[in-house]
Amino acid sequence: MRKVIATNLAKLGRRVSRLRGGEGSTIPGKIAQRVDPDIAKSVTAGFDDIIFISGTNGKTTTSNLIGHILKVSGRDIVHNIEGSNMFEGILSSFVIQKNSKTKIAVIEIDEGSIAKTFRHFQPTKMVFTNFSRDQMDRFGELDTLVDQIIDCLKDQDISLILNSDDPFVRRLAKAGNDAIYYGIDAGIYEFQEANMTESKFCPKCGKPLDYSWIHYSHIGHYTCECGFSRKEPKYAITALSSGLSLDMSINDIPLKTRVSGDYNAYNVLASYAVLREIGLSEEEIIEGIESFQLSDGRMQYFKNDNQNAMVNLAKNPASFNMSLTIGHNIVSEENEAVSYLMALNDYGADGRDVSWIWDVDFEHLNNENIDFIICTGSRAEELALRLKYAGLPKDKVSCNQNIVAATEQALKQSVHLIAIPNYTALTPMHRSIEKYFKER
Amino acid sequence: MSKTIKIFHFFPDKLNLYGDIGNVTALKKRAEWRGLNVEVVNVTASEKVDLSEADILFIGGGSDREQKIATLDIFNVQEEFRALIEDGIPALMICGGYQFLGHSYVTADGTELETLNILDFRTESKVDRLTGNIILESEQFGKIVGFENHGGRTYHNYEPLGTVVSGYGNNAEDGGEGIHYKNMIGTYLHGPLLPKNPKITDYLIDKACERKGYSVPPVYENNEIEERAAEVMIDRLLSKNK
Repeated sequence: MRKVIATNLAKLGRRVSRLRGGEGSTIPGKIAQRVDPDIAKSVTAGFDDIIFISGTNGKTTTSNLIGHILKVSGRDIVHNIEGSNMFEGILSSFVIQKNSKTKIAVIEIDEGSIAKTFRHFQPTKMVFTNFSRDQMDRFGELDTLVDQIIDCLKDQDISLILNSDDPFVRRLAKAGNDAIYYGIDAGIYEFQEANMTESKFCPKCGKPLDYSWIHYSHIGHYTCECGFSRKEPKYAITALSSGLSLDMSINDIPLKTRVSGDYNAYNVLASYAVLREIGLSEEEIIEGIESFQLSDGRMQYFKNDNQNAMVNLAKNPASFNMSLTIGHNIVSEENEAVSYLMALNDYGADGRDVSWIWDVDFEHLNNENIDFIICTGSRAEELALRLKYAGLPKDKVSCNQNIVAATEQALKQSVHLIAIPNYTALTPMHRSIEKYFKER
Repeated sequence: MSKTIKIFHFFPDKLNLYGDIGNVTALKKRAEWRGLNVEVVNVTASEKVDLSEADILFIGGGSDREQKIATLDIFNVQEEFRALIEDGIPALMICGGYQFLGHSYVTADGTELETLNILDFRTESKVDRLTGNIILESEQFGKIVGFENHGGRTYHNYEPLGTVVSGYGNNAEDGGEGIHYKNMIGTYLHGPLLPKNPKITDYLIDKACERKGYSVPPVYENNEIEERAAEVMIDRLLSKNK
């Protein structure tokens, strides 16, 4: 009874919060817990599978893709699509979305919320994408983060689906859970990636890793003299090509996607792996993948008769370098001049420390034919400063902290625009671009 | 004849947290803007280098594990290192690089790590980190803007780099931040430090030129964007106190 009251009050709470202009994504969980302190246990009971997706980059895309494939296959799911990946938001999704037919939950979870969430309930399966250094302001250092997650996983009945190509993710096997691996074969594809300064040291013993193949950053085929090494994956991309969208083979089974950006290959592969593991057929998964489109400002492309634009979220050096290296090829066919709109906010969700922009390879832009660069967001001037020290001509760079105004200006003046927002800058920039292309 | 300065960047492969590489970028660019040739020497193993070639030393920050590996390695050249600092070589040591100049470093779980023992100070690390934007006031450099993120609390009686106006500093107790000893600056400021604080960058380059006997007048070129980037944070943090 308590649970019913808690659930109904929670739904009411969401409505009220929305009326007041909030997103309403964490309120229901908070209310339900107030009324029924055991709600997290009871509302997560009775599932065949609860899948958690975590990691630094790609967790939103991967969880949206898994959710989409399951829905297309006709299954009822709980999915924290409302964009809230910490404990209260996750709990809210269960409270609001669960009905008597729901047997699967697909949950994107922030790395920093794993410990707290595990105190209330655990998943049956957990997918890890990759670890890189965007949250160090919040979590301390990468080593510490990986150790904390290992402590959470230890002695739990959770099977892991791990990116074998990332040594830090591979390291999670230390927790001793059942694990299967996914990865990309060596030599089948060269990622469009600039040089990176990520750590390439063994997470086990600290010596430099020996790479026989690097896909990008610290992701590749590695071994260490201490015995630590990449594990042969159960699910492997055996062929890959990247044009306006990605085509690939997973364990030699070909499929076509509607997403671009070669790093999304890992997200497609991770989705395929976990869904095979919970018993979906090849056909069901491929049907879902082939109908999936990104719609949230992650690698989106816009076009009308006169101009085009791409927008891609970048919240750390790895994802920013991706946008810088692939952008030109996506928006301009020949070597026509392109323009850039870059946003750097430093609110809580972005990480207040913006020093990572000094690890981004902006020097690369000196080889490009560039019309103008507009910097925006609460730390626009910091970006402009970085560009000065990257050697870009001063007269091409301008600042405007107001994201909507800067976006409108960039769209008015550009023919080929590459828009790169960080986390909280994404929504205002994405909305302005969508609106502009709808109206013209 | 072209005038060259050599920046020795220690362990760029291990100690490279929070954009510290930006400090090397700033030194290199500003030295080039005044007509110097700049050579950046990446030191990955100290036994292979001749420290007498160095004109500026730079060490960034790293995780405890990587810091330990780096310190062990630097013991090979401990005496040369000490002599250079005493001789007034311009040097910038960030975070771990700063901590390991002292005579003791105790980690959060009570383990004492070996340090270089070049200066007389100690650091105790705690689990809760001192994190956030920070502003210092310094007689020599004016306002200094950066971002700090450290578990270590450092205690010393040397001259600090500056006085904390907003933020935590060396230990969140005595109001000092960093150290300024001869021409060596040690600090917890990431951000990175030098791009937004060009007076410190120019000071390090000036000192390098003095030691080389170069008379290369600093070209104090237009620092408008440097100042604006610093102003954003000064306005934000200090307007709260108005």
